[in-house]
Amino acid sequence: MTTESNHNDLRVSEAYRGLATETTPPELDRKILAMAAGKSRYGLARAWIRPVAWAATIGLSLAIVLEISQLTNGTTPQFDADSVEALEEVSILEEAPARENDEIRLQREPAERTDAPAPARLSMPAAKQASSPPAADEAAPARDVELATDSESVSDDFVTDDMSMLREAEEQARSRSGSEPAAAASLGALSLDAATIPEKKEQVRHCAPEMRASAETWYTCIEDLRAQGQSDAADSELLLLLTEFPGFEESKQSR
Amino acid sequence: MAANAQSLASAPSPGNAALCSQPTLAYAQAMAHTPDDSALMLRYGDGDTQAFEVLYRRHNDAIYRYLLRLSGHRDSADDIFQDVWGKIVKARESYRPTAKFTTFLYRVAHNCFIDYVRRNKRHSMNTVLEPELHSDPGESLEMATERCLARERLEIALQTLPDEQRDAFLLHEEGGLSVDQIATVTGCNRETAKSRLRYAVAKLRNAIDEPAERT
Repeated sequence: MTTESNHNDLRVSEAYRGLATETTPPELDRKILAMAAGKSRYGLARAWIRPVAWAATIGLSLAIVLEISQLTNGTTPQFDADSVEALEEVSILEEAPARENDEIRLQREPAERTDAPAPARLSMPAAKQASSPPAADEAAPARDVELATDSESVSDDFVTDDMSMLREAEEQARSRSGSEPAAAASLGALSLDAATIPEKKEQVRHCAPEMRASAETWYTCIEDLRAQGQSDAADSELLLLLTEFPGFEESKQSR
Repeated sequence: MAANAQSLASAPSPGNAALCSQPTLAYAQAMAHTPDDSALMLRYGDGDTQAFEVLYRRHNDAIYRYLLRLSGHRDSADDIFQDVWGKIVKARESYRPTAKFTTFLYRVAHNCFIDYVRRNKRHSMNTVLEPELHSDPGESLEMATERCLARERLEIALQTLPDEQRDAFLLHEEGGLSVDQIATVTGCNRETAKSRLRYAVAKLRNAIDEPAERT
């Protein structure tokens, strides 16, 4: 007998086939088919879960990156510029006469000490106070201003509110005390946006307050400055004039 | 749907008709459908539950008998059977038709049985399954009795075979696996698998012929 016939014995196979007639119990069949159908449904669901999870992750990541980039582009440079201005202002304040409130100085000292670009900001109550009716002391707006150096507490909304309130306060303060360079300078230094530049330039005034009373006289002063060759001063005054009197048209006056 | 799947699973192909007319091995039907098994499994991987049902109907009984003869207990066979198909279901996404599906299926079944034996240290093979009597209408009582006795002897001989030899024989008979495939499933080399199968067949043949030799 060959080796092949040894493991292909037909008699044994036939006997075995006669013996092995068992079939799977129907309940087992049902159980397994149900399991397969259930897993398949779950499998199809899982096929969707993975891409959806990836899409959600990518979407969230993009949103966070965009948010961070907007923060970086929109607010951080302002904070940096403001903090530089604030530091410059601190040096001005140190040279300023003793009428500057000690409270301001005390509150600004932490800003000087911190190396990080600590943003100068107005607290909400301070801003509200600044927009309140004029106080007896002309330096009151500056005194009302409160500096906060805790950069962690700065939120975008709050900064936006502060900026608008600060502008209002500056407008009122300027209208009230047009001849108070120190107060205006300190206010200008505390602003958080690009509008701080005109206010800063206001520190060096080339036109007298009485000339600034009306747009026409102010423009006359500016023309005089130009005639004297002080074109930089004239430009800065013109900028201020346009800020103060937005309806003023230079072309009409030049005619 | 189930009936449809069953008819698909059991429908004889033209090539299978010739095989059915002759004395065939138990795995002949499974072999005739083998080329489609991988495709069915892939379709099931894509979520086609009907494909799985067709695949299941083709192999469920053979796998069940394989596990029943290996374990010697119906309860154990039921447990392992569920485990096997659970693993097949789980493997639907990772399945790649690199080998014959039957080889893959019996390898899973073989491994599940080994795991089961390891988990149940007290597993014994002493139980002898009761052979089911299926007498032909034209068969005499004496012949039927002789056939029944032969099957009983075969059953006893099968249960007394060493595990490896029984495994090789069952893989050959139920799965229709070749010697190479048996070697793949059981993780041994070809010669070992061949030797195991040869010894198993020889012992079973002796068990069947035993009374005739005595007479």
